[in-house]
Amino acid sequence: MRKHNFNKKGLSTVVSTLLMIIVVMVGMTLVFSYVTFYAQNYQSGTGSAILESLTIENIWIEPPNNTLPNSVNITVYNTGTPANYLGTGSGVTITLDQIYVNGSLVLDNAKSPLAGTTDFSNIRINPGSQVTVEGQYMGSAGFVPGTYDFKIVTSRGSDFGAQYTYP
Amino acid sequence: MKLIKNRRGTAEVIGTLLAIIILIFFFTNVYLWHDAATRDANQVYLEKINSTFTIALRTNVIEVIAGGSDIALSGLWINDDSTNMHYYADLNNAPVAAGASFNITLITSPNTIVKTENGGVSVGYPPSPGVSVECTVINTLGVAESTTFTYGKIVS
Repeated sequence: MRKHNFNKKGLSTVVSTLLMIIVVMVGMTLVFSYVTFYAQNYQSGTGSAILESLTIENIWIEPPNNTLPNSVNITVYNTGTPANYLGTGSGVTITLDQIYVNGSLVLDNAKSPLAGTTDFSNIRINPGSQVTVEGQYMGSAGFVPGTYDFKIVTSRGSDFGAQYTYP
Repeated sequence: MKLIKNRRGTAEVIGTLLAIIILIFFFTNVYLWHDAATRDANQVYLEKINSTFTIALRTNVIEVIAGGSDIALSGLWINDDSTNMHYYADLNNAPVAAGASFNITLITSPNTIVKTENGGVSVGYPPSPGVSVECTVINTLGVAESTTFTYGKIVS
């Protein structure tokens, strides 16, 4: 018994093996946590782009005598189905990012038009809901009679388009 | 026997096994989720292309006739280009069975109102006399149909 207690060579092997196992387990737990976090982030972020479904319901170019020139109202509708509706619940909340008219960025009138912000990321549309955004077209000639291509880009990178003939 | 007694590689073996398990977990998780998401998106797309409808104009009534699938009506836009005003009436997801018809009666009113009546709805809006307005009906899946309407025929 006495001889056993003083056998430090054997103890060192056991302790080092246990330590290695503990280090590996802790390391793998960290890796597993990161992987889980990454997978959840992917699913709720970029991965959900496939579930985004947006329809441009209405486009209304305001009269030229409007206080803000070249203003346009765009009504968009999230056609994704909300949870427990039609049994699918496939819709996701859509966050707008930017709006283009004929390739030119549109300014967000709801913020400060003078500040020149083109960021619409404060606008979130739940499945089954619609939102009207008002923007300012920055094309050189403004809105003159003709056909315009509207494109809405979401924060997940999807884009939805529509054509509108003015007037 | 010699292998069992040799504990020098235990941590490496456990580490490798755990790494493989984590990799399998990650790819299975993401793949299965993506598969389910794709199926849901395809289902919505399928419902969308099957939820067609037509609209016909009868005096002051827009008759919505559903196609081969049940639909739900989301809203009605009345665009008056003469005054450059656009009016929206929420149809509150009014259901229309496959092949059935649904009447939207236009009435004059100072405000855009929606009333339910006789299995359909009446929509009021402030019209411009004698001019044509464009009426667009949209269902809950984003399918839209338009027609042009002249105010003179509206009953008040």
